[in-house]
Parts: sequence; structure tokens; C-alpha cells
Amino acid sequence: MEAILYLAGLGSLICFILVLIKLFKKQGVGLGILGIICALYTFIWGWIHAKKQGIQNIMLIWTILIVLGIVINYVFGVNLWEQYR
Amino acid sequence: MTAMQYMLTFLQQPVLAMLIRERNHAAVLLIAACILFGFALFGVSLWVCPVWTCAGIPCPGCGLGRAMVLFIRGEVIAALELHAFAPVFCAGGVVVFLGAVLPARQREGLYRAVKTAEMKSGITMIVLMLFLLYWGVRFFV
Repeated sequence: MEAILYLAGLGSLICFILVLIKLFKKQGVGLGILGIICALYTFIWGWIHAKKQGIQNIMLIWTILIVLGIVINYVFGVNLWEQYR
Repeated sequence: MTAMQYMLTFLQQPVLAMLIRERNHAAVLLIAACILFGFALFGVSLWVCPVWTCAGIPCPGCGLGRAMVLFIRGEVIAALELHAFAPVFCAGGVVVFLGAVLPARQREGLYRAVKTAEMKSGITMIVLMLFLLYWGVRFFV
């Protein structure tokens, strides 16, 4: 389960970076930095512009990976790292 | 373009105003944030940070959501200990909230006011730069 969680995290990170690049290109540096700080904004922007930017597949994969991560975290109780404090 | 002009152009970018202008973005962002905060109040985190899960390194925004929840609950010191930018982002959240709920005419006024303030003072970009600097300090020190 830990390996699956790690792979889900890695895939999620790749999707995040791909969408972030699009965000920087389309919305400029300001909102791009906001996207780095707040991955949730990148995620929402990605879904709103998924069709226009042709990133539907990336967003779908990212969403599946997030859900998978949450399921593994809560249902199986697997956590790779101590919660950051 | 000289370095000074480039710096000014960089600082004068409107960020909050862009969020206010695109009402859909603001509304969806607020709804998602409310859902996440609602669950966070009960100790359930629905958002898994991709950087943290993959690398075990906190991203610049890690802890910000929990700090904002603490700030909203009135636990100011605990919020500042967790993330110093929680009050700033709560204030930004209020502006985005107003942008999402105000009628069109008032929203246009708010958009113009925020845009002018951001472009004249460069406050948002300065805050964002400080935010990244704070992450670096928190991470390496």
C-alpha cells in the first residue's frame, strides 16, 4: 500500500506541475505563484479550463490519484510521512 | 526594457483582481475551500499535498489551511505558529468572497479598486514573494 501511495503521490505531483505550467503560460506569473502556493487553485483552474486547454485527461488522472491517496490514507491508515507541523 | 522597468511590471501584476473578475473561479474556489475547511474542523484532511506525499517536503502552502482554520476559530497564536501568513490569506479570502457574492455593479467597483491598489502598490506580488521567502526560511532554518 505504501508503494501505491507513493506512486499516487508522484503521479499527482507530475499532473500538478503540468497544469501549473499551463497556468503560468495562460494567467501570468502572479496567478502562477498563487498556483504554487495553493495547489487547490491550480486544481480548480485546471478543471475550469480543462476543455479549452486540452488537459481533460491530466485532470481526470490527477483527480483519480487524489481520491486514491485519500482512500489509502483513511481506509488503510497508511501515511508515508508524519503530518507536517 | 531595463531591470527596473521589468521589476515594476512584475510587481504591478493584479492577482486578487483577476480572481474577482472571474466570478466562476472565485465561487468554485470558495466552495471548495469551505468544504475542505469544514472537514478540517473535524480533523479530516480531504486535500493531499502532492509535494508532501511524494517527497516528504512541505510545499509553500503546507499548513496554511489548518492555520486559517485556527485563525477563524480565534486561536491566533496557534495559527501564527503554524503559518504566519494565515491572517493575510484570510483577508484575501474575504476579498474573493466579496467578489463572488456582490452584485455586478458593486463587484465591478471592487474589481477596479483592488486592481488599482495592486497595480499602484504591488502589494500582492510583494506578499507572494514574502510568502515564498518565508517558506524557504521555514524549510531551511
